[in-house]
Amino acid sequence: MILQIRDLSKKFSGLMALTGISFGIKKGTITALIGPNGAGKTTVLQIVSGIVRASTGIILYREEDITRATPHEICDLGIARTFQLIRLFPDMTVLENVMTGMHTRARSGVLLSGFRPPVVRKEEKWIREESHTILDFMGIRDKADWQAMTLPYGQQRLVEISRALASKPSLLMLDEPAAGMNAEEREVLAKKIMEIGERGVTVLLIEHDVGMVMEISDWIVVLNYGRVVAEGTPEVIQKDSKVIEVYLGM
Amino acid sequence: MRRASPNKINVLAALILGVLPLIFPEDFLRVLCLGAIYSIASLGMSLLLGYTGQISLGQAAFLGIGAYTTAILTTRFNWPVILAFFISFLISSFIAFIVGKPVLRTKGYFLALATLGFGEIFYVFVCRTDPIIGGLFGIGGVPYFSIAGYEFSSYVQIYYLDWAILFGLLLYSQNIVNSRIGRAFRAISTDEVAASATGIDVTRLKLKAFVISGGYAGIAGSLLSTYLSTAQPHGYQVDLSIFIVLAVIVGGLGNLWGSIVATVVLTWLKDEQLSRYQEYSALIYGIIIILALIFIPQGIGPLKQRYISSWKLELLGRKFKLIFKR
Repeated sequence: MILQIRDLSKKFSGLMALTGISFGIKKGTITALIGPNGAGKTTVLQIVSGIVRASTGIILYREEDITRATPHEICDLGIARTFQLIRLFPDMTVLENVMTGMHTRARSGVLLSGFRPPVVRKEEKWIREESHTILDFMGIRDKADWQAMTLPYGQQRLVEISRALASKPSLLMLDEPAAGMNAEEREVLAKKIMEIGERGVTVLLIEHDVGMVMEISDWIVVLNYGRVVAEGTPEVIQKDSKVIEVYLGM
Repeated sequence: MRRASPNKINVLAALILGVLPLIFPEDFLRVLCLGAIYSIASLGMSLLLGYTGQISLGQAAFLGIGAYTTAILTTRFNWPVILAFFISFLISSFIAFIVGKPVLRTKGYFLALATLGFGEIFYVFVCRTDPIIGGLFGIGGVPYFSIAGYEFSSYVQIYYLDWAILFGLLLYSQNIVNSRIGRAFRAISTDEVAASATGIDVTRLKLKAFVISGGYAGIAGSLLSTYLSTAQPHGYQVDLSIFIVLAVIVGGLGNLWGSIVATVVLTWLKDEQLSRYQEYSALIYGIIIILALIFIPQGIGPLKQRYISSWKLELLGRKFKLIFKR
């Protein structure tokens, strides 16, 4: 287990967004978190990435308690994420966005950077090359010098995933990466996510596209009204009566 | 859309600035000297406001700290100016660190108010502390800047000295902007949540930007005291803080050369044209800021482009909104 969520609850001014949920993510798998709108999927991601504080409960990452860690500490530990509504740095180019994603892996400080000695130049060159490699992998190298904000929506998502990958995460969390994509783009995205998984990155995926979820995930956790309703392999989930009830209301 | 490379602009500017004293009368050099000194403070402010998106309305205090440190060390303790100059830089940076730590917990209007408050505290403090720092009259008799016995006393000498220091700091700032730290600054200015999720320690980097801006202001203050040969409280009031913020906005957020050009032009306005209307300075600055935001929201840098694309305008709106957000 790379990530363990134990008895996690979150209360938003009287509203229970999560009620004592527990589940784990096995290393090297693609795990999907599904459920209807308002089930609390995004809240789980916000808490794991340190942006929102849990009301109660514990999150263990590689046996280490990260419940109270700050977002940048969590990223530094190896958990990267993308956002439901794309949050690229709008005044930067695609390449600069990805280069910013490598912040935790580089070391040059303020004092040294100002003088730009060979060490800093070398690191900067490495950051640039590594970022190009990532863009290459995501298939958007030709967009490197575009302003991030001027790209079509689907490609902005790919840039955001590239930026997350740039921190070389062990766990990558994607919040509805296929939202707003057409069928063709979804196809490419699904393939990319599987490739990321094959490279040894554990993936936690929130997604509404059930077809895509069934196709690429090894394990599925179903949330409804802030509780875990079911979890299992795609085959098991597809037949689970409780899940069918959640989705079809039967 | 190709932009001239920053190196080319630097070399060209250095050449032009190098020959200016041969052409212009000494009278005009006076404005350029002052302009260079204020530009140093603007550079720091540009890193803080233009790149990191954090405002400070207390920058005059850091200039004041630099000026007073130099004045005290040279007149009361007879230290060499060059040493006092470096100590001024260190002390103003250190005080920026002490002040920035609590103050940067606030955002937008509150940050503006907190830094404004710090500026006022400094002003009241120097006015009321007679024995050591001279109260309302300040400290006179600050010697000219000198390095190993060579004194910079004529306008031409001071011009070369100040512009050389400014130029060095400009290169230093450009390097920061084009580094991992600069990218982190820019990330913070547009989206703090995304920045922190990308592994950037937002609080720490804001503090770093604040300390840089304080240190630069301290350098400017130190040079100002040797230039004016005094350090007086009324030179370091809120109107100077606003003047520096104004220069950065008119120069364009995220445009280092722009803020220098704007500072020089505004210095000329302030010093030559408007000096008789000192009491209306706040009003005049207010009008300039409004006009700038309406007609040149991107600053004076990209004037040659006639149209601003809609996403750029949207981005600018977002930046200003973030600067003044709780």
